[in-house]
Amino acid sequence: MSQTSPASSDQPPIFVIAERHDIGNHQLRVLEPATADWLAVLAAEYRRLRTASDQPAAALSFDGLDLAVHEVAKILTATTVPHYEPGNFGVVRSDLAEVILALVGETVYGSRYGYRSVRDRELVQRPGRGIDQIGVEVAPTHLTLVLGEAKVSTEKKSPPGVVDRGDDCLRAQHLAHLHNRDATADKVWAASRRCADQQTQQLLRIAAELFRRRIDDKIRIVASSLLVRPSTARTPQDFGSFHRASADFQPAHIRFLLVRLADDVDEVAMEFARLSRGEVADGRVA
Amino acid sequence: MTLDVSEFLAALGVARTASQAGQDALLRRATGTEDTGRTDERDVARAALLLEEEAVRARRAERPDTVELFGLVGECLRLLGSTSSGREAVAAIEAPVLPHGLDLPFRLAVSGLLARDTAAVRLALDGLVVARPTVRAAWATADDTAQDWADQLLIDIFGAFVLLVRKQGGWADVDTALALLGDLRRRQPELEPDYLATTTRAGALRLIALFHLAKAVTQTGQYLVDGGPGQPATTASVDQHHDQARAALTAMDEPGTGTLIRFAELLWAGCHELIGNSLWTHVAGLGDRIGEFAEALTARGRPNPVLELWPSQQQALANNIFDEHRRAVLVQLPTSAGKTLLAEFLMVQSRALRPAGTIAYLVPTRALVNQVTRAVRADLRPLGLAVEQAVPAYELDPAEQSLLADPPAVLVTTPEKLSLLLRRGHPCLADLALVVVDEAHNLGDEQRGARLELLLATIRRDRPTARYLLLSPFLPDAAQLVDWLGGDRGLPPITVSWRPSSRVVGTISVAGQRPARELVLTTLAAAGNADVPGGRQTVLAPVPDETLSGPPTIKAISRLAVRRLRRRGSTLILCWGAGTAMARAAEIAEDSEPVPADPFRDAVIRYLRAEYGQDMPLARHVANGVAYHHRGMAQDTRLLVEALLQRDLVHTVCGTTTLAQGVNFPIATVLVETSRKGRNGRLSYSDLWNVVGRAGRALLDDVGLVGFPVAREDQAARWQEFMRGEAQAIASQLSQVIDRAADIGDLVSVRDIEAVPALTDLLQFLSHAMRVSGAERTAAELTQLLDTSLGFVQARERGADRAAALVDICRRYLAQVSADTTADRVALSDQTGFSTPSVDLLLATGDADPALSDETSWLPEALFGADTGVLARRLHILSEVPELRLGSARADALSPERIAAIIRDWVGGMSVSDLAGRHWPAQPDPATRVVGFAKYLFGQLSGQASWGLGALQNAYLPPESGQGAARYVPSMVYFGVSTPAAVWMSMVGVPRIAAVGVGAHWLRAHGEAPSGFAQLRDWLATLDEADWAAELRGELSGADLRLIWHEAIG
Repeated sequence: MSQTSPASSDQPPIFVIAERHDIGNHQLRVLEPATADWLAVLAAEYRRLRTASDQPAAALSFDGLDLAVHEVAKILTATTVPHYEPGNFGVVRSDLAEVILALVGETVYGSRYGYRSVRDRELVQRPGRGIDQIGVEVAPTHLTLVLGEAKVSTEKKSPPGVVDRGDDCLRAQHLAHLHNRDATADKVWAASRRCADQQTQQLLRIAAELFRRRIDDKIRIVASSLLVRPSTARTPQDFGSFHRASADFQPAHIRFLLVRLADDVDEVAMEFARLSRGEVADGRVA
Repeated sequence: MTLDVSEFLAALGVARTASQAGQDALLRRATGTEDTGRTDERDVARAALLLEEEAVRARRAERPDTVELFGLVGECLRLLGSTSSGREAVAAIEAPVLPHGLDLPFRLAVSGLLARDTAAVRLALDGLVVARPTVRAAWATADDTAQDWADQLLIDIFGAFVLLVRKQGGWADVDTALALLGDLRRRQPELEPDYLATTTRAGALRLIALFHLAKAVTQTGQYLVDGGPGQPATTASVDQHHDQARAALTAMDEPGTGTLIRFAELLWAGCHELIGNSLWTHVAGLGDRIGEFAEALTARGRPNPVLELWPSQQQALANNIFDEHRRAVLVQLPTSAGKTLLAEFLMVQSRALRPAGTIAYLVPTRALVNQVTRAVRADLRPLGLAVEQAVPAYELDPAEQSLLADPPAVLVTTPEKLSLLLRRGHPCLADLALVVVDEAHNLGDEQRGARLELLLATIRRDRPTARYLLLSPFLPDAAQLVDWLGGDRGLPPITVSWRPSSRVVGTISVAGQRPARELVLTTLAAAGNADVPGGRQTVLAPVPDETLSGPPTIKAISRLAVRRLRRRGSTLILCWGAGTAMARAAEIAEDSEPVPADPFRDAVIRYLRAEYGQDMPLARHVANGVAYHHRGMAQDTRLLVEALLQRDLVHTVCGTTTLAQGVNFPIATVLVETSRKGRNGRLSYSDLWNVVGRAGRALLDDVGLVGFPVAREDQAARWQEFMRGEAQAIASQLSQVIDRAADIGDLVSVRDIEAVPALTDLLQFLSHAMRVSGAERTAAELTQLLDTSLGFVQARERGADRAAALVDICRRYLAQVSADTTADRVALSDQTGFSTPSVDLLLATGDADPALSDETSWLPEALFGADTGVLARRLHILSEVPELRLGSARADALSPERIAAIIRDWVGGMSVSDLAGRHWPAQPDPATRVVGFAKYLFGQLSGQASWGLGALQNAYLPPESGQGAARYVPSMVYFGVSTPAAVWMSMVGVPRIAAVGVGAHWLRAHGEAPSGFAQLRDWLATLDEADWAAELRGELSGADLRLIWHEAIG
């Protein structure tokens, strides 16, 4: 059984693959929490990533500068201790899915992002952001462009509406990404602008252009979906047309990860938000 | 995982997109049209960014493809920068790090530096970055008004860097850049508190990064100023500050910092290049004198300080051009790629090694003697090195003999004059340290190649410690030349292909049907010589029927092209023969509007009218911005045309292939109407590229256009075929002698010399050897002697029989000369520059005239008075000498009496127009008459008659006959003046029209001959308008002459 764990920790895996419904190269899988404290681990990772920029700058020197540095240095000294602004951690239900999408992408598939929804929520929430999570994966002979969408659904129907129904469903979103290549490539470029890392920035841009120009031997497209469902989820029906008619998504490879939670999804989301804010059970900040 | 990104970029075809963009941009700039684009600007903007990212990676890893990648980036950015939509495409593609007004200039600056496209990028920045006083305001657009401290730091740092790259106005940009950076300290207390009050830790890290970048750019700027603590220390410090900036930016870990990190890396790479290009980097460790020269080149008072070396010059230096051990250095580099500066460096080095050693700087034409002397003198004067010219006459008058007695550091002259000085044993060449041969491809010239070759052979033999520097744009297979001159101490030839500007080459034709015809440029494939591949078509302009009524002709197309291309800069139309050049100039002038008045231009017009008459066509055309230029024009007139061009006071010049001889002619566009050369010849591949290589002026045009007007398809096909050619290796012109060996008689005669012109040079070479070493020794060592010539080396390579043929001719000649001991013909041959058969001819008729030995018969009044009989008799003696070509061999040759009358009036100061009116009456049209006469006078008579009369004096006047006026006669004939004092003035460039008057003024002031050229020039510089005004004609004023002398000739 495959396992997923935060890339930066040696903690036990957060999710395990409970079911595989793969069709050829299309991955349709069900994930389940691996441990009882999975949500705390996820929230901790979330907090770590959100506060990454507060890590001390290694070996910065002010030697030989013409401009005075003492005032600036005071700020740097003052801010090397991590601190949290609880108000910034207003996590909503859909964020839980996006956090998992990004984290699984990074830890399992080695995706690299222009920005990470877990890190840069304020950016993700800007209007017109378009694609929940854009990533690029590297192989020796080709790049993989990962176009990721995340949803949470407690709907009893199977598949839930967020999979196949309406303008905003996973199917519609992915087909739009695949059919409107120019617009999608432009969104990838837009994502690349937010990169803090030069190499990822370059890879995203190359992937965008390989996709735009349909250079199929160099670019692999992954239509990545993450759907958070309660334990009542039915598989493979919940994968909807992604399972029934996977050919509709060509040339993309489907990567549909259904995270099945045993508990009430809304409660899990609220708990995740609480944990992310660093609160312990009685509402105090950790 | 290590990923080969280049493979993905190749799959995307971004290099192709960039090349296409570069071609589009070139065509746009070459033609001034906007409709040349084949590429989508958004694609180009994306390609630029992808390539830039990869170029940065390549630079970081010091990969060899760095230059190419940045070149491609530059091609994209140049296209995008040329239109507002392109600039918008750039802005849309990436989050702005810099204000839009600065983003493109900065990236262009870095890509230009890293692509070694230094000259072009400086020029491009000229158009993109506005004037210095408002520089900060110009970078900040309306959107950037809310700049905080960090933003302002960013703008000033990157803006200062752009100024360091641009270097406009000499030091002005560098000073502004350092002032901007220095001012940051003053502004910090004022602006930083507000910023820090609201900033985050990331904002503080950003400030620290910018502080480090500011320091890196400041150190780079200071290095440009004075070399700072040296290159290694400066680059190490720049590296350190960049590392710190990068660490701070990385620690920010904010969205978008990836782009900022890339910009910081671009800045760092650019600083490295600026330091690497700096003059200081290349002169370090080369000794005190080179250091002093560098100080002089960078001096703040200098009009165009040399702050950096072109890539071509760097390449030459990197190839050990300064290796003192080497005796022969050959540098092949394109026109305008900076060869004069290279030569100057070697000259300074030469003087440092041999402080008393003279340097001979050989150029092929009189025009170049003047131009090079002025340029080199200005550069070497601060080092106290005297640079003089030996007047390119075939004779040496007493004044020149004396003025050169104190050897100058550098003597600029033609091969013929150097040969004369060497044969006469002039003291200025006693210690010949270095011979610079400019336009060295002339070794292969049919007319003069043998003379130059045998001059070098003579120097090899007579001055075995001399070193050689050969410069040329075309010297394929040059290793043989280096071996020939340097033996095992020759430096392998240095070939540089870098050009300061790009080049577009194509036919220009009229396409389509009436009334919708168009003037079209169709590019031609010209490997290595053009930057746009063949087959691209660009519509230059519509051709309404009223501008071209009939079918197109080459003439009409030239006219249309000039009209269309005029605004991009000056145009040269290469015509066949002086007549066509003048006719074309008349047509273009008629089609042109008068250009605004200018004091220098107006002075030139008045000067031309005074000397050549009111109807002088050139004077008329110049008023409309048009000129012509050909060999039949007076030296000073050609210099004035060149000066007008350099000052942008004429926009079109119609010239002949004589322009191939390297005069620095600043031209944006060259239109080539003909492939004919001379009476029956054809332009060679090298001839053509030597002329059209002038298209594109360093730091004035970033692209030169070479157009071939064609009226028919077969004409276009011929040019395409021509483009497929290649430069030929230098072939010694002694091969002429070998090829015709069977025709040369047992006793070499004047007829042989007429039939095989190169023979005279070979015979003089042998005569000189005989005079120096004696006949016996010369015969005994003949093979070694011949071995000093390129011709013999090449003959041996081609077969023993050819070498043997050459030896045989020489042996026969030596025997012939040795057998006759009746006169010292060998010495006379060596002194006069005539072959011994010609000397025999001279003596055979001259010996019958006892007056030749009477100095009084040589006085100016005896020769140039009302009775010209004496002069005519002497010209009669000279008339059959083959070297002079004055004689009766041609049916239309003038009689000695007529020539004497012309010379009398010429020396007497008559204007050229009056001379033509009196002596050239066959042509009824006054203008055509003047031109035809001037061609004869300046192209033939003044030089050849002067040479011949000097030879006669050498043959008959006893050496003790002194330094009186008689000895000045050859120079009087050469310059067209009547007094020794006027000859002195002429030698320092005083126009003939004023030489007598100013000379008389000198005598009144000093009472004796000048002691040196510098004394004369210094005195002339003090003269006021009234001093110049003596004996002037027409509207010409003293002020005009003073201006002309100061600006163009003196």
